[in-house]
Amino acid sequence: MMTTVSFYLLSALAVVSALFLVTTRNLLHAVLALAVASLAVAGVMLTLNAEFLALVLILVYVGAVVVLGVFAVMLTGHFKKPTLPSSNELKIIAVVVSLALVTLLGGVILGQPAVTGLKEVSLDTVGKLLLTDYVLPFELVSIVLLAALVGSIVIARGKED
Amino acid sequence: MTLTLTHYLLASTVLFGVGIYGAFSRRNAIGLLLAIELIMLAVALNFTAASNFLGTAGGQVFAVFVITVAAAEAAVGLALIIAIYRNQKDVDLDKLTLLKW
Amino acid sequence: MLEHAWIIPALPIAAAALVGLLGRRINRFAGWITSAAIAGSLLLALRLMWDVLAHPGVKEITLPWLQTAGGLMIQMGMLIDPLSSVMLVIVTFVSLMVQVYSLGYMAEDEGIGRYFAFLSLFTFSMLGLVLSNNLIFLYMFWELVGLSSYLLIGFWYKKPEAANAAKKAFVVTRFGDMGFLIGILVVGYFLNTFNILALGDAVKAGKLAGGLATAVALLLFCGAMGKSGQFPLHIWLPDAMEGPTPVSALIHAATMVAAGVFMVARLFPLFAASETAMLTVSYIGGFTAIFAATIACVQDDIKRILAYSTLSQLGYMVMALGCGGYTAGMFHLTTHAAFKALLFLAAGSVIHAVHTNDIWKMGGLCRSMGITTAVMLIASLALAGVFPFAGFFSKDEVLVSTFLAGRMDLLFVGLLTALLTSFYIFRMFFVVFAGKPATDKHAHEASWVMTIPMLLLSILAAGLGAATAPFGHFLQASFGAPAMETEYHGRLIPALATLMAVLGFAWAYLVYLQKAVSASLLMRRFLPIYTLLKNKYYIDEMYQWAVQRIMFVVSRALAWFDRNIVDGAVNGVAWLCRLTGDGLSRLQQGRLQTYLIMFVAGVVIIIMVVLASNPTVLAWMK
Repeated sequence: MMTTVSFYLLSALAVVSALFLVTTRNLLHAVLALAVASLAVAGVMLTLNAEFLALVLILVYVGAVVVLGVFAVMLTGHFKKPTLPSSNELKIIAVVVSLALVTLLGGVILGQPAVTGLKEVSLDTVGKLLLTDYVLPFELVSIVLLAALVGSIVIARGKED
Repeated sequence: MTLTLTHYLLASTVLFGVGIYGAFSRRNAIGLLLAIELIMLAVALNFTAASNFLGTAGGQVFAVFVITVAAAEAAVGLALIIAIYRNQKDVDLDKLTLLKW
Repeated sequence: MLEHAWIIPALPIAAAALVGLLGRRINRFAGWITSAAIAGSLLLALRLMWDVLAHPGVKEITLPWLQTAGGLMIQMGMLIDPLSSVMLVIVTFVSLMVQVYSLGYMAEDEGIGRYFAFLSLFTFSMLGLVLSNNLIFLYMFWELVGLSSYLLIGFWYKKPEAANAAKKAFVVTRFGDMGFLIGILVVGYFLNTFNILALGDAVKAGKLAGGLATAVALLLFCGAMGKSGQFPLHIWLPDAMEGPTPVSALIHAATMVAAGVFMVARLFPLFAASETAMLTVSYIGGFTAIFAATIACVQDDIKRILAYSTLSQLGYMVMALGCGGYTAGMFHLTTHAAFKALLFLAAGSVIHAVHTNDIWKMGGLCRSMGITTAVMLIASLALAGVFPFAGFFSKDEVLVSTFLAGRMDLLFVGLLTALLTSFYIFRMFFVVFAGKPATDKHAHEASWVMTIPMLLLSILAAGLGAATAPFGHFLQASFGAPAMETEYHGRLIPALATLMAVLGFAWAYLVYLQKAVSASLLMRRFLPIYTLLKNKYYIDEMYQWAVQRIMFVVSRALAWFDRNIVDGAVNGVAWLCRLTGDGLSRLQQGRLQTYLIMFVAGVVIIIMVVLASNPTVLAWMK
């Protein structure tokens, strides 16, 4: 019961903060909304008994992405002038298309038989899988991270030297 | 009323749709990037829910990958935004129309 | 031996490749290499003829080459019968003589390596042509022969006349080849084969008759007209004399120009299937014979006299073929190859000695050039058809064939041509060799490499007539040879022919040696005719006029059409494309998020389509 209530509350929080993220004029607020949404989703993950992932999510999203976002806002100076309209003139089409997408996906999901009862997925198993069956994607992801690291430094530094 | 996989999937679908809307409509490039992060978040939730309801650990592994890629993407994307800002003095997507004929 | 017949053409092409690729480094040995190769070919050709003599008949060696979906098969192959074995020997023999002669004649030319490579290429093409067992290969080698002729006429390409003559030869023969190619394709379309033997069988089975047979025969004959210089496509041959004289001897007298005659003989059943075609062929031959002979009477250039003589003699051969005189035509081809090559080589020897082509600048050469005079005399007698020289027998055969075909008009033309032939050749002979020297420059006899081939050829020119009967019997075994013509044992035609030769000789003797009748007086008396002949009946001018007045006008109209209608259509399409592109590029306004929305909308549409076409997914909606 406790779990059900937390699920509804947390997912409602996530959706609301997401909506705030996409509509607010102030970019700094948007970044903070992402942090809230990430925390809420981490909470939802806790209701799934996926503690490890919840922690990783907080670590990466709140700890890294949000901080990066704040830096970006600061460097581009957008926190000074939050009066610009947040969205462009494509707003109506955007609403229609995204609603259509959600409806369709939701329809398909509702069409599937319901699966109940959480299964135990131990961190142990995940760790072993990462280093056995998925070792190749795992290594590839590390290369992607390295490339992203080097790439973002190169791109952001520019050619001033 | 017990929670089923469908609840989680619907929640992540709504999150995903909001992210898509944001990616469509945010005028600012940073906003666009944040919306994309939101989409990744929904996907990670999706994977985790499926993994834990079906009892296969592979879903969680992929959630880890998604989060990793999201981090990499955020880093590169923000670096790009800074580079563009330095060149154009603006990150307004309506004004960045270089992908033109 | 038969299986190895391919070596005969392979030797010259190998030599040509070797000499051509090594270039100037081996200029000194080039002629010896190619001569050796052709000597080898000659020996093999003789051996092959020996085999064919021992076992007369038709042998075919084939190798599948191309197979089309329609069941049409083109083979590579060789057709070996008496006809081709005789041609092989003629071609290799004359080639060898000319090559050896060229060793002396061309010794001082710096492009000698190139010269011998071209000459060997020609020999290869001609041998391939002779051996071909199907029309496609015949045509291929036909064109190769034309190419080597072009290369050799234009050998002194720095001389504008030579370059122009080469172009003229190439373009004019192309007109004929066009018809030839169309004829080949028509044959292939209707009879579904290109194989010469199969074509003969198909014709015998009556698959080709009536108007189609006539059309095919005449189209194929176009090729022969181009290559063998039959009227009205003869204009290139006299100009081809701009090439080196040995080339004229080999290509434009003995072998290549005989290719047309050979082709008609080779495809004889196709021609024999149509009365009209045979009639046309014989009249074109007869007309060319007398037409060219009249022009030859007034030319001043020694090589042009011989060139017109060649045209006239080719006309003889074609006339004989058109009258069904298969062996007569081929026999005249053989003897003509010998004595005309000899005439050219002797003329080359004279030109080499006095460095001019104008017969009026020669004269009295018999004192300083004994051997040349002797061989020239033998060749002239053979050409004029004086007993017992080779020309007498073969010309006799030709005349008999017209008589047996019952074509008295052609017989008359043939006799008249014989008179003219005798006149023009002795006119040339007397002017060049008799009388007083025109210059005080002392002419020397040519070196032995030049005289020996001439002597060898003169033996043939004198003695080939002895082979008349065996030759006829031998050739009867060829594919396509008609049944033996009824024998003619009368004395009238040989007597008439000899009378004509003697009359012509006497005429030339009186005018040019005794000066009993003044040549200039004759000229003045018959000035209009003289002018007409001197200008070769204005045929070249007529072509010129036709090209300028008709073709250019048509071309201009076509050019306008091309520029405005065809190009207009092309440009219109381009304009339409650009317009469409301009319109579509408006979609590319460069805004990232528009692209993104379009992309996702596309995904939504795809999902909708998938759902609509997959009822199980939609089951919950019902």
